[in-house]
Amino acid sequence: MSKSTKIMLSTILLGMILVLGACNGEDSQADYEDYPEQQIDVYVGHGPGGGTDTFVRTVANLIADDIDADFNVINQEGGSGVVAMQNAMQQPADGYTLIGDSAFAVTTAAGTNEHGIDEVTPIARVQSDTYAIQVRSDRFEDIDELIAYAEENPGELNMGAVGTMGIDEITARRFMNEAGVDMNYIPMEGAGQMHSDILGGHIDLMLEEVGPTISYIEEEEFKPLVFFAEDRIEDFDDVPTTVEKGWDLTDGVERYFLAPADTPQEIIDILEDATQRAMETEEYQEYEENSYLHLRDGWMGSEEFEEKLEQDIENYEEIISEIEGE
Amino acid sequence: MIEGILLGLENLFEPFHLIILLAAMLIGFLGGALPGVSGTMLVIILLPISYGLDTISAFILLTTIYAASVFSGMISAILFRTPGAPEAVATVLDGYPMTQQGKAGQALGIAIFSSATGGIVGVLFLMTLTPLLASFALQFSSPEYFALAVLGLTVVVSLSGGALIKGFIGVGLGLFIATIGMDPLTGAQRFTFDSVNLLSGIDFIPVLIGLFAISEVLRKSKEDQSIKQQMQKISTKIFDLKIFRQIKNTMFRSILLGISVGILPGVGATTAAMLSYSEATRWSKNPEKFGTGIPEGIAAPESANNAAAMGAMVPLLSLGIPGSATTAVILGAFILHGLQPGPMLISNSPDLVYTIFISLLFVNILIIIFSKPFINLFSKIMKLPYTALGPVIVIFCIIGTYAVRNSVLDIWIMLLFGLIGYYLDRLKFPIAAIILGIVLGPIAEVEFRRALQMSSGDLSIFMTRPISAVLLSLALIALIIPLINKWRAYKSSQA
Repeated sequence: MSKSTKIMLSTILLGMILVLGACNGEDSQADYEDYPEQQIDVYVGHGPGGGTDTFVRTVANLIADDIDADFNVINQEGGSGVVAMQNAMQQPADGYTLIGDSAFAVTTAAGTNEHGIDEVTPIARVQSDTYAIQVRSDRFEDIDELIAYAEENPGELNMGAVGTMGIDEITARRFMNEAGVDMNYIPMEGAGQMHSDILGGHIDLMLEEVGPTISYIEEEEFKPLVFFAEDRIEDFDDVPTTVEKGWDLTDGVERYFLAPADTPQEIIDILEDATQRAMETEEYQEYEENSYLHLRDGWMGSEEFEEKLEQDIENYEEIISEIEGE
Repeated sequence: MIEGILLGLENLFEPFHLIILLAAMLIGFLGGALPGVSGTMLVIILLPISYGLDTISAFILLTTIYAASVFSGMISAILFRTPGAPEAVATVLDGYPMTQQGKAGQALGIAIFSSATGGIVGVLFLMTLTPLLASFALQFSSPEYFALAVLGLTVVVSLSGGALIKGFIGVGLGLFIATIGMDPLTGAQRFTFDSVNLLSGIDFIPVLIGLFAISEVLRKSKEDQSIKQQMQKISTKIFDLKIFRQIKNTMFRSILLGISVGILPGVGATTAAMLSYSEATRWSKNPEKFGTGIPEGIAAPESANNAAAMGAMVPLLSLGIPGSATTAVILGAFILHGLQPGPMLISNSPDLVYTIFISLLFVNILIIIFSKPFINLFSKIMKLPYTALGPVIVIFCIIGTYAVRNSVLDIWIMLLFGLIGYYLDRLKFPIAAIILGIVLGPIAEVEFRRALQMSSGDLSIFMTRPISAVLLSLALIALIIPLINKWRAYKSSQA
């Protein structure tokens, strides 16, 4: 081996050590009064541009202005947020690692997420979204026509929703059960693909919130047939709800921040308050209305939401074992 | 439309907007040239800055970065065998061999010319045909994507030169790598060995950087560096009439293919580049020359990926449907700026949409002028002794790989594929075949299964839908013709 080769190889090795070394975050003694003293990492288990990612970036930005913090959003897709959760839990619970999630209850109930409710502390729930069954406007007149068609032609309609074994699929399957119809569940890779498949007539109906499709609805390209809610939705007075139809289905996607359980309570409090203030800003209110996220009150504080998550996990465990039992 | 164009020009030529355009082009260009820093990442990083700008400035910023980053990925692909962006993967195949032959300047010139032409024609299509293209894109669903992927995969016959068996093994390996991770349709774990890090599969970028860049550093480290390296004088000639005559047909086909693939919501510019390289091989009279450093091998992927990047704006602006990761982020930005992306965007905000069109057009023109000084900079780097340059390339590869999704495992995967690539190179293995498998594998698999779910398991769905039937028939013909030719050759040798 020539001298220069040796030099080169050792330089490569040194470079690798330096880079790998830098990849591990440094520990620091947090002083709560000065929090935050360094960049706060937020792990997001969903791709950039989607609903959960947009929620995290919007709210983190507002919190950053409020408490003079610097957020670093890390997108790690995979397993409906399981990968991001796993990696976040390997970081120190010092308040500089947070998780922005929307599928925790379902992935924990399904067993894909190994870090249960004992290992995390919710900071706050920010959004509680409302599902609707939507179709291309010329496909079905109303929900009764859809159900009647599905009853006559079992296994013929294709129902799309995003992903596999997440809250979307579970809600879609619960809908089929409650309505007593047999359809094909088609897992979509993303909302974009789903909208294009509806527009092109390749699938017949989809489970989707009205925020992402509002411009199609205004253009009368899409039509919501039923909302997953108790009371009728303002702006959509003529669209019935699941409860009216006698279907016990009102759950929607919730978007929230979690922290590892050992995070000091003082920091959780700081962040909880900052989140609440962020939600009260004019900017957030405007964003909420533009995206049709204001249909339900999103805010739920740390303690209350922890109880809700516990309850949700139990409920979903039951639902999943029912679905899998079929 | 003329009114819209004038409005766009007026908006763009406000000094502040022009400054933003130039700054964004610079950022996008540099980011695209660095391996691992992708256009998606840059757009995400600059998203918070765009909140502080007015809507028009914000979208000049984001779309310009996007266009510029697709452009510059080819520089390091050609000079160092390190694709700066995934879209430049196929450019390595003929670009780097040309550098090795001392024709780096020529290679870069071809790449700049084809990229800019692809981009400009792409924008012109975008400006004039958006509604028509969008309705064509809506005809595509799972069966059609599957058929498209199959057609792409059959090209392995021409990609692997004479070594057909090696080619098939390569595609098989690529397809296998693509199956690792959580099954996208059922959630079952495949080859993950209970490792959560493997749940989301093996990312394309570490494999790509490992196979091409790291393996090359390893190979070069075996060479005797004490011999004075051949000093390459890189003089770039962007337009050369003789070369243009040679590549014009390839460019024409590749641009059309690039736009057609780009407008589809399910596939992006990387797939377009790979498919276009493959098709160029298939249509060529001398397919065996691909991979040895010929101008067509650069012109095909470079004109296609830029055309596709512009094509991806079609579903975004006309339907509110993102065709790639970057356009998904831009879609999110529309919402954050209080706009409603969707069918009404063009009629509700014509000033914004036409300003985007015009700035995309200008970026593609300006970049021809601006790329020269950058390339001079890069070619100075080429003069460094490889004992210093090699380690720097490795460090950049490591940082770039880690940056994709903050995963240390990805670094190990990249280094592993560096070793694999090194040995495969020595076996004269067609690495292009592996890349083909990795890029098209996930599309073929997922769309095949989703199509069958739509038809309740009935295979006839692929033949009753016209587009998928045509694409699959073409694939069949593509497989049979070489066999017939071989048989004819065999018969005539017998006679």
